[in-house]
Amino acid sequence: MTEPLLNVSGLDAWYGGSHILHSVALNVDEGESIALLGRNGAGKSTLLKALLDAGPRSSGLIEFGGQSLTGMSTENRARAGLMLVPEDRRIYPDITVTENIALGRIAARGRGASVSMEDIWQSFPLLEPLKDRGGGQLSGGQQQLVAVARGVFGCARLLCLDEPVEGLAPVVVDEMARDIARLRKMGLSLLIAEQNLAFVRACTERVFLIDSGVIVFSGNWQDFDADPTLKDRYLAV
Amino acid sequence: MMMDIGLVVFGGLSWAMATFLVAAGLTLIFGILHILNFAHGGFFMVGAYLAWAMIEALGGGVSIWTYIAVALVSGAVVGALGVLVDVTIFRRLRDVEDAYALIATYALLMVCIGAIELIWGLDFRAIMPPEALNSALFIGDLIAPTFTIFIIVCGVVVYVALEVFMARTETGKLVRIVAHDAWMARLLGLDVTRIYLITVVISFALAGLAGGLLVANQGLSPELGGVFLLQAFGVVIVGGMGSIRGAFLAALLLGQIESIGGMLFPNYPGIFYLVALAGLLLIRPQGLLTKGRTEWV
Repeated sequence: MTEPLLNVSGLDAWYGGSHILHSVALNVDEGESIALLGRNGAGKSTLLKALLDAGPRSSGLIEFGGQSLTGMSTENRARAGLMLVPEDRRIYPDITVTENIALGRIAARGRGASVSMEDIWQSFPLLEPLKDRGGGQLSGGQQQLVAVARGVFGCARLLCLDEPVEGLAPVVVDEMARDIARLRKMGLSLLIAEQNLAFVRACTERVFLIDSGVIVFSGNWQDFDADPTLKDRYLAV
Repeated sequence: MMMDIGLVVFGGLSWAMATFLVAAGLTLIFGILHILNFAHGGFFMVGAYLAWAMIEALGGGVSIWTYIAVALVSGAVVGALGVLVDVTIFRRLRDVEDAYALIATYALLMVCIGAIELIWGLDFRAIMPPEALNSALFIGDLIAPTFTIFIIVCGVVVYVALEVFMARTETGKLVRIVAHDAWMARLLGLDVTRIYLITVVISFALAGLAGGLLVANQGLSPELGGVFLLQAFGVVIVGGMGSIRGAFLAALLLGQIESIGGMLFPNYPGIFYLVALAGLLLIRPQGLLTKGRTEWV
């Protein structure tokens, strides 16, 4: 068996004095798509940000593509192909959709562009008609699509999505699911933090369930469904 | 009371562009790095003294082109000092509270003044403008010194160059991206540290250039930086912290007000500027142009 694309073990993370993540272990193989489930405040965002060293203080082992990320800056982690699409999207309002998406590539220069802008328009058909529109003139759903496309165009090897369909209309959620299916066909690996079970089930094959900063379950969707108490105990509001 | 409108406008423009030359780098560094750089006036003086020393070494009376070249060299040298300051000081200020940045840059201002006193002493120095700029144009009743016209042109050129740099160049675009959201820029793999360094170098180079351009017609003493810094801070605040266009407009506005005030109350130079500053801040505390600026964890 080859080594996983992302291998996390014994990961602890803090915001100030509050200890958020407790000895988290998680792995993603090349080409795999993984769901990270949990309630609001369970530690999903903190975990994704800790992978990039983009917020919480953390300790523990994070290996990406066989290389330890300890001591590596956020920029260099992103350049290695670990891309985070944050929950609040962060589209730059003063530049166009195309320019926003192209930002992902500037840093990836010379890393071999596997995805062309044409591939992006094919994967995200809703975005092509918007390509010259300003980032500030997009709806929430359109912004989310741009944010994901920007990560893909940045030559992501592993794309981490933080609640990509939170607050979106059902029709946009369906579109996102189709776009992600297209990305998976291109061989992209994904780690998706979500609370929308129907969406994330359609996009992933394995599940990690986090509660109060502890991984309380990991396995495939059959195993997850086999234990109905998981949903009641860790996901019910 | 009779007022010569031409003279007022011209005097205002002169004040405005001299102040803008100093304010440009100050507002740039604040807009991108969110550091209020008290040392800016110090590096402005370093630029002025460097230019003075170079012109003295060349034997005094230099041509206008030599004068400009000397100012550019001053800008380049002070820009290079910017590399040193960014690597040794500014980089350490990014993760600490703003108060540390105030103390650090104020200390750096003291270092600049001390260095100037050590190297060049406390004596007043003065230098004449180049021959070609040492006359005056007569426009109707208005006597316009050519050196003042030169400074006004320099202010406009620097402003246009900065606007073009920010709007049209790839680096300028990245500077704007980082100013708007540095956290996301890092997540996209952009080299934010390098973009900050470029910003600091440009800001310092502008301080040095301003010193070199304004050196003639000034009594050069180690206190000079403070005078310009105070005016430049006012322009930066009224313009909207971090906005180059705002600083330019605020300089024009405050220049006219200061000029009118000087005409009405010649015995109280500088007071109108302070009154106008207070008044404008009461009306628009956020400044004339405020940038969409957001901060995250």
